[in-house]
Amino acid sequence: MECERIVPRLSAHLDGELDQVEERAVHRHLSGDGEAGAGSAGCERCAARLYTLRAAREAMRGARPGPSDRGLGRVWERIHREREGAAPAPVVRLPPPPSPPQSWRRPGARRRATAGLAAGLAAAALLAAVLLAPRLEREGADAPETGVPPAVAPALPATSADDIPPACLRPEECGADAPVLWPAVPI
Amino acid sequence: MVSAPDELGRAPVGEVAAEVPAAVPAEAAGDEELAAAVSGDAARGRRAEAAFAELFRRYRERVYLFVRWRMAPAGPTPDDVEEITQEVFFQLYRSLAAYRGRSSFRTWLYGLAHNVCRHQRRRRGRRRRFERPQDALGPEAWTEVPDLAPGALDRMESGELRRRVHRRVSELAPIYREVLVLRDWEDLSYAEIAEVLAIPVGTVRSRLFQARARLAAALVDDGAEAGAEEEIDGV
Repeated sequence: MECERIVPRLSAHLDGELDQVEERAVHRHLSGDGEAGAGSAGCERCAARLYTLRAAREAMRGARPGPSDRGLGRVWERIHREREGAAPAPVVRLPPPPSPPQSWRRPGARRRATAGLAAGLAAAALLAAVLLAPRLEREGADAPETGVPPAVAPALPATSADDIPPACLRPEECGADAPVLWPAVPI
Repeated sequence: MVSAPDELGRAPVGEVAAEVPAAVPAEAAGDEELAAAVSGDAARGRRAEAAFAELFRRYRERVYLFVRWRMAPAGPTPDDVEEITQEVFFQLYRSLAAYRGRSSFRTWLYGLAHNVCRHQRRRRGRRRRFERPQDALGPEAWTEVPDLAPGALDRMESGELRRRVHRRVSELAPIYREVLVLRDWEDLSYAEIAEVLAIPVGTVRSRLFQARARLAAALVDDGAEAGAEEEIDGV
């Protein structure tokens, strides 16, 4: 009865992979200590099983193939082919590589897009200031007090991102040269 | 300070050197050191190539058999097995840049090989959700270990014993072959095998027992056969 419980554990016992409680149980069974009193014989049947399992393990270990570089040349060929620009093969079990740059996402494209948007906004602000100036001049005396200073249009629209200073939403806190991206004027 | 590799050529896990010291030839370096040399050399220069070639040399045959036995249910030709083995090493070279030494190199290599095999089987349209143990020694769970007469295997010449072991292992179901390879050839712990195969540690334990009991039964037959031949020769 005890053997039924021990036999499936013999292989892990060989590998030293049992926990302490199991290891003690197997050891007791094989050596006889603590089963039928100290000095009693261990289970010979399980000792024979253990011998067989150990022999199988050693035979397997002895059959481990030796080193070889057969086929290395073909692996190098493939590696070099890929390096030289052939289409990359899919990678197994790796996080996906960074997506290759696409035409609309070339390095710097984002910066250029920001610059374009800012330039457009600045041009719209300039146009609005020019068109509304006469009206504002006419109605200036009747305009309600808003606490918002009059619009300051940029002198020149920026043409590139590098030319555009940070947007100024509160002109009173920015320098005199800082552009305002839209006129904060009640219309 | 790079720790000396153990008798299996492995550097201690977690002590991956940034690169192989120039004075250490690739053959003497541990697996983890070689892996770090391949991954650490951004230009993949000569030292990285020497390190990769050494890793290939060490593991090529074992990975080849692992692939052959793992792919057996899909019925691959020897050319298929060769091609998949090369795919494993090709992917290894490409992916070593991601290796950080958190697990042992062997665990990592066989995890990769396992996944390449799975990928190839899917690609070849021979997908099987479950592999049933359909080996030549019977599909039922074994609870008995046969008796092996002392010295029975010693009668066989070492080359002959090796051939018989390979043949007998190839007759086992894939689930038994792979645990035998990972444990007895690669010396992975049960926890590492569980990680590679994505199965519980308890399953590793029971499969290894089953695998060894079956292999032992086959070798008992072979031992008896060799003994009989010896007697005939003696007469």
